[in-house]
Amino acid sequence: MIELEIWADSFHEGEWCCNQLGTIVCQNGGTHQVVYKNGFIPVHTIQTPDFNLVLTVYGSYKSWSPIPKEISALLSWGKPDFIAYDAKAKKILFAVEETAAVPTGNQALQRCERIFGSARKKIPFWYLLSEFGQHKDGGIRRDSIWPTIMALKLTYVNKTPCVVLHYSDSENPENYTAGNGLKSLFTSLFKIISNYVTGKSILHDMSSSLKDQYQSMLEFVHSQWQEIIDFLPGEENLLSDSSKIAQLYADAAEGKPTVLPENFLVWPKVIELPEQVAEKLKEKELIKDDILCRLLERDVGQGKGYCLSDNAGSKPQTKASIISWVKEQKELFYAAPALTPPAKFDIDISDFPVTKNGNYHVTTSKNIVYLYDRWHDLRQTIEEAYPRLHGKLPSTRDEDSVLMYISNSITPGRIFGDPYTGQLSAFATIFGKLDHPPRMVVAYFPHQSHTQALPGKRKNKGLTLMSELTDLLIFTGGVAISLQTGEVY
Amino acid sequence: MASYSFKLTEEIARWAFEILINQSQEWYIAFTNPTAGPWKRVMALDETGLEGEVHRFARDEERPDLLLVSDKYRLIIILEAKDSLTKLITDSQIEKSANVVLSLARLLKEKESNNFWGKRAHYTVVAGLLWGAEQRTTEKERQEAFKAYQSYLTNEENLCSPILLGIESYRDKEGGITCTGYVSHQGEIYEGFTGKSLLEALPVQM
Repeated sequence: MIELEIWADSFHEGEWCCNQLGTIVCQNGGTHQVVYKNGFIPVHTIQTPDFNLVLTVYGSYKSWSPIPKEISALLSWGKPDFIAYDAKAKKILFAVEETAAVPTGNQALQRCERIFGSARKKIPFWYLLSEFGQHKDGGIRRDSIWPTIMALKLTYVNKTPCVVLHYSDSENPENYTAGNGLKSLFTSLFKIISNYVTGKSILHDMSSSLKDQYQSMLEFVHSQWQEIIDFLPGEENLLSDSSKIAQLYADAAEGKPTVLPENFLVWPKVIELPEQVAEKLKEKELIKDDILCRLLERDVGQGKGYCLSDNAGSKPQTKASIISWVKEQKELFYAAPALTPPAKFDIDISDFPVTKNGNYHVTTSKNIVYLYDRWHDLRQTIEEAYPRLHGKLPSTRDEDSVLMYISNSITPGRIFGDPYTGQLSAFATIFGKLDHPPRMVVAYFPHQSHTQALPGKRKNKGLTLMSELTDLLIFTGGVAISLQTGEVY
Repeated sequence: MASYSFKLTEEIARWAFEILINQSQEWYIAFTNPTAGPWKRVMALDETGLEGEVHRFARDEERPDLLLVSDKYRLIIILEAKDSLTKLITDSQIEKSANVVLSLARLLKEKESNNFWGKRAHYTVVAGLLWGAEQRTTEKERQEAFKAYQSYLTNEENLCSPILLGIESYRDKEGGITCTGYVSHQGEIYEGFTGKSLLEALPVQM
């Protein structure tokens, strides 16, 4: 009898996984039974013609000790909803994230750090989410393309399955049983378990199902990208070669050497943009003024970089909240020794535009992503905005392209949690951090104090991700930190 | 099988009780509040046995930890859970939890036109507390907790029964969990159905 463990964020998710696997077993002539050890630990016994298996669920990660080292290491990158683990071999077989949340706004990206963490460790990963969701305004929304594109890029780079599957349809939003996603997910998971316990390679005989899954991902991107962005590199290949490209991704997932069509999902330089997109690039107004964001917009107008859309929403905050957060940020700012040249905290509530109902805008630019052709240009712009950094920022990669990501959050510590870590890991991956040559990644936090990221701070999920994915962080007052080198500028 | 020790968290205390409810023929879970997944709606069966949505919680809407329904006993139980009784009786927690119970009870009473809820809008609502315990709580501690909640739950709308339910998920020395039920007093929840009847109707120890 083979014994595996299902570690899960909650017992419900672990139990749900086992029950779905049990359904497949029973449909194929096997049996599935569950007993509850100690009155609460689900122990599922699965019998098939080929093997017998026991799956024990450990729900609520934080409840258990010791958490296996392999599980703990994965959780430090964000907590998947469930993980299949062989304690004897100390091996994770797969990890899964699933969500019932309406895939709108920040929700769509807020779990993406979990995709990154698993892919980085070459753990097969599936993300099951609703393609169609009902917004609180009653309208139907469709999922963002970003998690899917992120998963495609991670598959190719890490040579491991990294798959986004959708459930629901427009008639049945958020309905797990509508669409193919649920069935496709558990068919794959059962196949992996089956391969593993019978001594085969875990992806044995999965080429066809992986191809189908990548094909559905590519078709989803093809049908949805125009709702999100102005252009998609390689869009023409999606139309003409999606079956061939799906096979390439399936091959990559199985670790085979593959070469995608040139520049497929690789974001170009300004000069290579489609004419109709390049023509639309112009400086745009900010919602809340910020010296660096103003210059980023100027640079777009001058053709030094570009944005993909300008639909960042503003979620105004109450006056009391802003006052409290500004005070906390100021205390944080001066909680460390002074820098040379000195940096000044100058956020004031009067900086924040007031809405009609008396709340305050914190959103600066309507874009949170800028793609620069050259670090040289962005570096000069940062130095122009914050003269204290003049001549200090590293220039060895001046000719490299750069992603500038902005988080306007003002709540202390928030940038290290949801949804910002998910956004940052998604955008860094999607826009080229792992490409050859890699794009640099700079994150700008106009309302956050640098002391939260100083070297020596206790690691959290956000710092772990930022250490790996960013080249430079810029904080309020123009303080810059490289988490990779530990330099503070 | 590898051996792991566990902390008696709210999740484990609640989950142990959910298992008992799921094994019962007379009760079902209309809503539970784990961290994620396809469980963030109040669901119920219509007269043909088809399951459907009764209420969908908004992202920022306060939710109870567990909502139980019994068509046999015409009862709804709305439970708040914590890993200890002590954590349930801080002033801020009592007010928050009591408001969740009252607002959900009010909402469910207005759902008669929902096909999946229908006549359940007239069922009696019982407020409940569920806690984890490494040591058995005393009668005095439980009564103090019930009393604290009753002062918040009693109002002119008569949204819920004056009798409160307590579920203690007790962890024994061997790591086993057993669930024991208590009520604030033994009066009638509705005519002919007392606090004692409620405990007998639930799949818990008394």
